Parts: sequence; C-alpha cells; structure tokens
Amino acid sequence: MDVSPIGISAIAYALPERTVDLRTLHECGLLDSPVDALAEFGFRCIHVSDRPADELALTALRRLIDEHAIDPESVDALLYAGAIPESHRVAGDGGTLEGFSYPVARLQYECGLINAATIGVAQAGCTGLMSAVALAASHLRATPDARRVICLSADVLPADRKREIIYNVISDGACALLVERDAPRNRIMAHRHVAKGYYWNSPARKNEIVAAYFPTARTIVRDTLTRCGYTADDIALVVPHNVSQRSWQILLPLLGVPPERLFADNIAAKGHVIAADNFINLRDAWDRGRVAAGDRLLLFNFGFGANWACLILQA
Amino acid sequence: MSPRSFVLVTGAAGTIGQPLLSTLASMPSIEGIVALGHVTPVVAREPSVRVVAGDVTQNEHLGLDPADAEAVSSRITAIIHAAANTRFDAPLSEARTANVDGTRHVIEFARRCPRLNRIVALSSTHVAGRRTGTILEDDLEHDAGFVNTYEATKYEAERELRAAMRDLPIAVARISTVLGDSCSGDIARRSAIHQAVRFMYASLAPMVPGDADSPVDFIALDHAVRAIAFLATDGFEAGATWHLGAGIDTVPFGELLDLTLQAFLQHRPSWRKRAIERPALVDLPTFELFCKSVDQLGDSTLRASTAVMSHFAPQLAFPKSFDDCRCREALVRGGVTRSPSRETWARMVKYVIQPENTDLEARILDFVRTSLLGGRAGPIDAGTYLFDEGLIDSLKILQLIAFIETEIGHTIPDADVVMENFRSVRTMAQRFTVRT
Repeated sequence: MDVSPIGISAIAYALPERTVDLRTLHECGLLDSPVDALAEFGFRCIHVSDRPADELALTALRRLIDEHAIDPESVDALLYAGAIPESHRVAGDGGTLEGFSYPVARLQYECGLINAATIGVAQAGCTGLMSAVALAASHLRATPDARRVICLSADVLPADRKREIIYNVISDGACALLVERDAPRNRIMAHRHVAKGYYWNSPARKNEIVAAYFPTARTIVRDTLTRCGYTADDIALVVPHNVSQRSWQILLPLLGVPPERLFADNIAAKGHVIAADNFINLRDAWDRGRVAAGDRLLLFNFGFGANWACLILQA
Repeated sequence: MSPRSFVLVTGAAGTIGQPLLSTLASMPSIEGIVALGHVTPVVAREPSVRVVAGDVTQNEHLGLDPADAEAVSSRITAIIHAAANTRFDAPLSEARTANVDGTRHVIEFARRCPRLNRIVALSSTHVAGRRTGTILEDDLEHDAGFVNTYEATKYEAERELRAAMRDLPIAVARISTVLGDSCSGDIARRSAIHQAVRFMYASLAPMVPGDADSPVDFIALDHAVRAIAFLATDGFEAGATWHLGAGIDTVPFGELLDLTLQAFLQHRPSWRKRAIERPALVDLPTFELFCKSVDQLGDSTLRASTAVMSHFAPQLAFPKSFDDCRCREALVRGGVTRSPSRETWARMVKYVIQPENTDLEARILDFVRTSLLGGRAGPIDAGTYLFDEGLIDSLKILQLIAFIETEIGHTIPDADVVMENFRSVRTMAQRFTVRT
C-alpha cells in the first residue's frame, strides 16, 4: 500500500468583486436579523455575484492552474462540490435535458483536464469541499496510478434569496484545491466527518441545529485530534469556516483553543463563503505569514444535512 | 408535639404543601390541620384538614378575614410555612413580596398565637447562593451573591427567621432540589430541572456550566414530605437549621448527564437514532455568552430553553456540598429513610419523557411538519385542517397511525381509523391521548 503523504499543495479562489454591506442587505430585505446584532456578531459585508456558480468555478480553476503551473493533463480527477442544488447545473432555460448539463463536465472541458474523471459532491452543505478533499485523498490512496486530484466548490445564491442563514451572512464564491501525493505543504493528518440525519429538515430543526452545533463540534474535534495523537495545545492555528465571530467565541473554549489561535481575519470582510471558507482562509493565512512550515492546523466546518467535519493538516 | 396539636400549613397547594397535608393528617399526634391556600385550590380529602383562603403576602393576618384569623391563631400549636414564590425568573420585587414579606407576616401572625410551640419554615439549600465548598447547616451570612431571585429572597427570609428565633420557637428546613416521587417520578408541578431534561431530550440543551466532578444534590418529593412532617413533630428542635438534601449521596454532574442519556435510551429506544450529543460542560462565561447570543438573535423556542437554563444552571458552576449532620441524625432517629439518589434521578427522567406525559399535540405537530410534510408546506398549527387543506391524504394517515402507535405507544383500533379523527393535530392529540 502506498503510504506517501497526501496534502493540499495549492489553493486558488474567486470572489465576486462586488461587495454589499449589512445596511444595504437589510434595505433590500435580504436579512432576518437586525443589522446591529449581525455587526456585533462579527459581520460587515459580503461578496455578491452576478455570474452563475460555474463561471466563478471556472475562474478559480483557471487561477489554480495558472498560478501553480499545473499541467491539465496530469490531473486524475476533478471533484466539484456545491452546497445548493443550483450549483450543480449550468444556467439555462431550465429544460429537462439541461438538468444534465453538469458544471464539472464543462470545467473539465474548458480547462483541458482530459484525463480527469469528473465527480459531483452534493448534499453535504458547507462541508462539501472538505468532503471532496477527503474523497480525493481516499482515491489517491486506493489508486496507485493516480497522483493528483483537483477539488473545487462554487456556490452563488439566487438573487432573490435571503443572505442570512441562521444568523450567518452568506457570500458567493468559488475555491479550487490541488490534492496530490508528496505534497510539499498542508499534509492531511486526519479527517473526520459526522452526519446526523435527525437534523435533515433544516427549517424545521433550526433551533435544534443551533443547539447541536456546539457539543457535536467539540466531540468531532476531540476525536480528530485523538486520531493524530494530538491535543488542542498542539494546534498552531484554527482555520475556521466563516460563521460568526460570536459562535467562535463560544466554541473555542469548548475546544480548549485560545482566541489568538483562530484565523478570524476574513469573517467580517468576506462573510461565510459556504463550502469554500476553510480553504480561502488557509490560502490567506499562508499569504499573510500566519502559517509556518510544520505547523499543525485544524480546519472545522459544519454543513446542513447535518454534517460536521474536521481536518487536521501539517503545514 | 402534644397529642392535641393543631397545625397551620401555608402554601398548602404547593408541590410540597399538598402532599404534606395527607402525611400530617395520617399522624396520630395531629388533631387538625388548617390548610392556607391562595391561587391554586387546595385538595383536602381528610376530615381533619380544613381549607381556608388566604394570602401570606397581604398582611399579618395572612389575608384571612378577621374572624378566621382569630379562630386560627387561638387554636394552632404549630406552623409549617411552605408558601413561597419558587419561580427562578420572578422579578426581584415579586419574589421579595412572596418570600420575604410573606415570611415576615407569618412571623407576626405567630406572635399572636398563644398556644404556638413551633414554627418550621421551609427554605432552600441554595440560600448559599454562589458560595462554593462545604456549606454547614448553621451557615447563613455571606456576600458571594446569588444565581436567581428565588435564592436571594429565601436568603433574606432566613435572615428574618434567624432574627425572630430570639423570641419564637423557629426551625428552618433548607430543602434541596426536589424531584418527583421516589418510585414513580411523578410530580404535580414540573420545575426548571424537569424542563431542562425535556430540552436535553429534544436536542435543545447544548451546554451547561460546571465541572464533571461537581456534586449535584437533590431529593425525592416523598422523602422531603416525610422528613418535614417528622421535623415538624417529633424531630422538632427550636433554633435548628436542617439541610434536607442528599447528604453524601450526591451525584457528580458528569455522571448525572450520563445517567440521563442512559434513561433516554432505556425508556425511549427510538431516541438513539437522533444521535443527540451530550451537552457540553463549559465555564460560566461561555454559557452566559451563548444565552446572550440566543437572546439577541435566537427564535422563541431556543430562547425559551436558554431562559429556563439560565435561571438555575449557573448554580452548577459554583460547586458545593451541604453538610447535613444535624438533619441526618434527626431523620435516623425518626426512622425516615430515602431511596438512593441515582434511582430517584432515573425515575424522574423516565417520568419526564414517558409518552403519556409528553405534550402529545406538540409531538404530532412536529412529526407532521418535519416528516410528513418535509417542511414543504406553509405554516401550519395544531388547529389546521390537514385534510381539508390538502396537506394529507390516506397514505399520510397511515404514516400518522404508524407514528402514533410506535412513537406515542398508543394502539389505534380499526374502528378509530376514520377521517374525522385525523382532521387536525389537535383532534388527533385529543382522540389518541394515552389512557393510563
């Protein structure tokens, strides 16, 4: 069995240029909660796209390939994660046949990934991209000939859709990752995913989901750390999903992580970019010098469904 | 107590007062009982119990008309003062009126009772407030603060009682958290602790403050009643303060949570598939930040949960044990024994979650909303005519029958499977309530 380390060697993302602040969102009727409260919870503005998800995905994928000089034909698989159903179809007139016009196939063609198997990852909510990374790692371990997989997520909320989901403010965006053997950085040390179907009906179980979020997060993080033989003290940086600062203030004490070890730079200005948060933050943390080689990083995420996911990397 | 003792019980309709009447009435040493009731009607089945309407908060006549007040004060030999506002979330002024002014009035009333030879005032072990460590029965004064207005005002009431001990034969029974009956778990009025268990069952209790090792002290209702009856009669000791609690049989908080989950799984096996996490034990600031956040943005259901929890759970962050030497010795002398705490807790949990004691209407409504309609319908409530609105059909009625039979534990005879019984959630709840 091949035991060569697998990691995330490159990350690129695409956020729409247009930003919208909380006040404007409120005036457009796109928030449920008062502006002041959401601001107190740590949000300021979000990115809103006038292009469909597959277009943002294409931008992110091209960026990844160009910035890191990836030979498109060297990619063995392309995993496309989208949290909402609209992200899994190319925009069109909505006919039956168009339901089979898949973004992942379009991306493979546009970018010349001619050797890449294409797979969609759905119904995992905001944990979709992390699930894709875990699937990519499993694929590489199980397929001796395969060397690299690109994982990608993209979501754009329809224009009339509320921008607040259970007290979090949502951005559109896309993120692409290169997962490969012998990655020079971000080596995957452990991954854990917990799904609890009791919470499948998100509107009806909204309160129970809020309540379940914290203790389940604590359990999955502890379990994932234990798999590596780590404790919270071993973690140099928590790379979050961009739910509210407030929820991180509540969660961090449960995890035993001091607040200065949370990379929270992006919550206010970028909002919650659905499945892409952790990896956008990982890229920015590297770029801003918050990560040193060898650091142990903890990525935690939650997605409706309900799903909790945790990934531990060695930088 | 003399063979011809006559007892006034205030708060006679309360959780403790009501069963205390029966216990006192069965004691040969007690000739008669005056049960002072206020808002809630007092149930008096025994001929020796006479119910009078009054209100300890009103005046030193306890709200009785002058003739009644004179008749009662001239006759009684003992007072058991059980009237209290036990709401943890009561505004301070309201709690003070009931618990402090009420106690003052009882003291004044007692001074006008020529035959009186004892007063037993019911208090709470949590007059210790935010103190930690071992609390002695003689302890009272402290400046540690309180978790809720109930604690604060019972503390103030005890100070009044201690001052009055100089000229009146007063004893104070500080009662721990009272659960249900030690055998059945049954309790007439559910307290915050019962609600908290329900919230835990329903995945609405994410975290509680405290450490796994913190001792949790509680007692069964029937034990409390037997003990009070003894302490007010043969066990009476003027000037004494008793800790009526679990003594050394407290249960560590972490173990208590595990016992709760075990009881859920044992008595409601279908609960397992919900995979609800055990609440996290957190420090008090984290718990308070969560409660504040829910209060800021959460909707009513979650706010209701945190509101209940926030008024008593912080007490768990101040670990303490209650020394009960004096009380234990007295109860041993009187042969008053109690069941083990863990068994009492498990029976309470079983009682709280058993189908016939859950809110059937809410459970059916939840099932209809989440499983039957999958959240796809517009807002519905218990009164919505499901069939008339086209929300359910005969296939969905079969699913409802399966739910009611397996989840609620009620078998529906074929004769009852008619459309009118499924017209609305309310109709179903009324029609299919489990008969015990």
